Amino acid sequence: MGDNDKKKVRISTIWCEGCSGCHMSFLDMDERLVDLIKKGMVIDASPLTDLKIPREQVDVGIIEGSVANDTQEEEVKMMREKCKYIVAIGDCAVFGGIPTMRNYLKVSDVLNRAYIEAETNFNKHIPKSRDISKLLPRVKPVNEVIKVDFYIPGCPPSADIIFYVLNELIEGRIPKLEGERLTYE
Amino acid sequence: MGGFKMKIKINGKEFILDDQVDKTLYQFLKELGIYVPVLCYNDNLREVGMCRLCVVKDRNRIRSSCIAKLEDGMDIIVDDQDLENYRKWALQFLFGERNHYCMYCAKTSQCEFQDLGYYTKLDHFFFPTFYNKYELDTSHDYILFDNNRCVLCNRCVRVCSEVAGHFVLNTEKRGGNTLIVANGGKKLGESNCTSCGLCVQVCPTGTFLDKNTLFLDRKAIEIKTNCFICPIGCSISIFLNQNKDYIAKVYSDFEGYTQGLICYKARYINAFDYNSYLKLNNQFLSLNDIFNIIKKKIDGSIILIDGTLTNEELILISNLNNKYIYYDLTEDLLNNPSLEELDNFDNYVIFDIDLDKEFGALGSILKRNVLIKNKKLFSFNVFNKVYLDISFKVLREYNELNEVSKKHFNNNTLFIVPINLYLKDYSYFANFSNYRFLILPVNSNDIGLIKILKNVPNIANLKNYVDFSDKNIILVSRELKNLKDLNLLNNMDNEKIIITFANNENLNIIKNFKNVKLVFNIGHYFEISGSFWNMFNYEVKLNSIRYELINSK
Repeated sequence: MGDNDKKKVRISTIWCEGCSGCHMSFLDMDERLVDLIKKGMVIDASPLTDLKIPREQVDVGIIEGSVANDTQEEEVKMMREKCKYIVAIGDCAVFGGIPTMRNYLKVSDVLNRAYIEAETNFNKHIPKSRDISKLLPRVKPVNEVIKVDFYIPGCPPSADIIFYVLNELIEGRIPKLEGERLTYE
Repeated sequence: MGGFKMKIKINGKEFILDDQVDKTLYQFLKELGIYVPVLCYNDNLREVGMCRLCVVKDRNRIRSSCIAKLEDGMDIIVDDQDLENYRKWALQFLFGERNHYCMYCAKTSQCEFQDLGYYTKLDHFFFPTFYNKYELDTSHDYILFDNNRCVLCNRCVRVCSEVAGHFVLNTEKRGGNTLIVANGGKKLGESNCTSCGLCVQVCPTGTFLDKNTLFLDRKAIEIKTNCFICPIGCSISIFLNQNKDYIAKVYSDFEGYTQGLICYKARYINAFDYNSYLKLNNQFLSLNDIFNIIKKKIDGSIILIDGTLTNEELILISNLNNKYIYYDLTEDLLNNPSLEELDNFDNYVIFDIDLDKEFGALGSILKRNVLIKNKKLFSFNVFNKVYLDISFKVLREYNELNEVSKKHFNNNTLFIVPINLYLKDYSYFANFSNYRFLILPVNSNDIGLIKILKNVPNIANLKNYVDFSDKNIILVSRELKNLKDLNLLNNMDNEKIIITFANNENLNIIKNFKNVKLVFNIGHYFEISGSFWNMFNYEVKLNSIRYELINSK
């Protein structure tokens, strides 16, 4: 009789075009993280564990941030392959959010402003390299690239909301976000 | 006699109503306490049925309940799976266009559109959003206007025409490209907008926002009162910020005496005079306390008062001697029509007053009558007696030409005259004593002065009527700039005690006075409770915001 006998729920997270606020909110669960771990949660690949790609099939994949460049698009598709249940967390992943402000402009204008025109630039040069991700013409919410199974809107959603969702999933139920738990800010 | 009845079924329950009942289905459902989501509907505006959220099923037909008049045989289902989907999709189409991100919007947590999202449990967009950028209009002094957040409910257009009467806002272009514009395409700050801010009050999204309130009014505390800045006394709601440090915003109260009318003076008070109203920790004393403190100085001194004082303050003063009202008043003020009577006139004649800058609520009432009900308006800017003569000539000739109105010109014409002009050319106006006059007082409670201090001399020329000799002067007024003989008082060596509202404007005036011994603060227009008589001879009640502050500490 020990933790090894319990059914594990493997969780993996990635962050795309986000501010990491949702991950901070995740950590804000504090000691409740231990409760979830005792119930069987295991965190596989995540910025929190510094592992990039899940080693094996994962039960729940949590994606923060919208899809703004080609690398993020690939990562998000990789998550869909490796995870049984995808959760989009935060207004950026769910709706597109703040990064979509650049959708009003052309990519060339955005790069020009950032690397050439900006007042504090010293070496005015747009970096070009095979290793640097290319900006997509439009910033997209995650559900425009892959199928998403559950959405947690919020900016960021509070630790209480994240705890509720993970707790329900670990105990085998589909969570329902309404009332205090549904927020767009 | 109408004995005919209508039979109406709501969710299976039958109601029998009188056939003459003229109500919409939405109003009836609301009375029954049944919730129906709405967006373009607003209690104070004409319904238009544009947003399609209030839909219900009537005999298997989907109808907007806000424009459906009650009729015999209705069989209404308020909620079912079809209707839930219909409303969800209607909202998805609205959220999918333009900018509806809540996280950086100042309207968040007080937004009707956001609340509708929560009500339908919207937690993602069904399809990609459409990015068409419209220009942000920051030209206006007090209002931030962002077409990118608009849901085209047209509430702003309706309130600016039906309630405020200004007819500044309207729509341009069609379909998804429809834009709300001012004056047919001008920037809001360059338009005829009078800054009444009613568009901001009714907007269900963050399209119209008050620049000086952004992010300050979260969980604000509301105090209902009336305004005391001008002699109308519009019903207002003053909102203090959560910590009760300052006034976050002032809205008009649609349920009050003036039914939603307001002007920039109260509405945007926290945008100008920053120091006075933004920090509410100045201590002030009641007039009673002040008179107790200066008890010994009162006898033998000259007390100058005006209509910026409440009835209670005037009653206190009525017991003292040697008091003077330092400008002219007339008892004709007591014949001013009531607010309700204003709508009964066919012709309005205004002299020498810009109703966009002063008495804005009166301007709205006039505009509604003239622009919506097609009444006649004559506006004269009278610079001297010659022009006054000409203007009356014009009026008489119009009277002659128009046979139909000739009979009724006496009874159905309202002359609106500022009191200073009325008294200056009194003989002219005396010829028209059988017409109705609305005389515009200078200070809010001038009529209170007449009613409470009946036998007190009011004199516009202090020097000739008052023997100042070696007496002390006690000046009691909230608005020192209205004092006509300011220079006279400036130069007098008599010892002065000033009782006023200690804002920057008044303090700057006091700096120029000689020999000022004491200055007391009797509180701003919003900080005192009491009552005053407005220009329509109605006793307006004032509730102090201080009550909320005092009770919190």
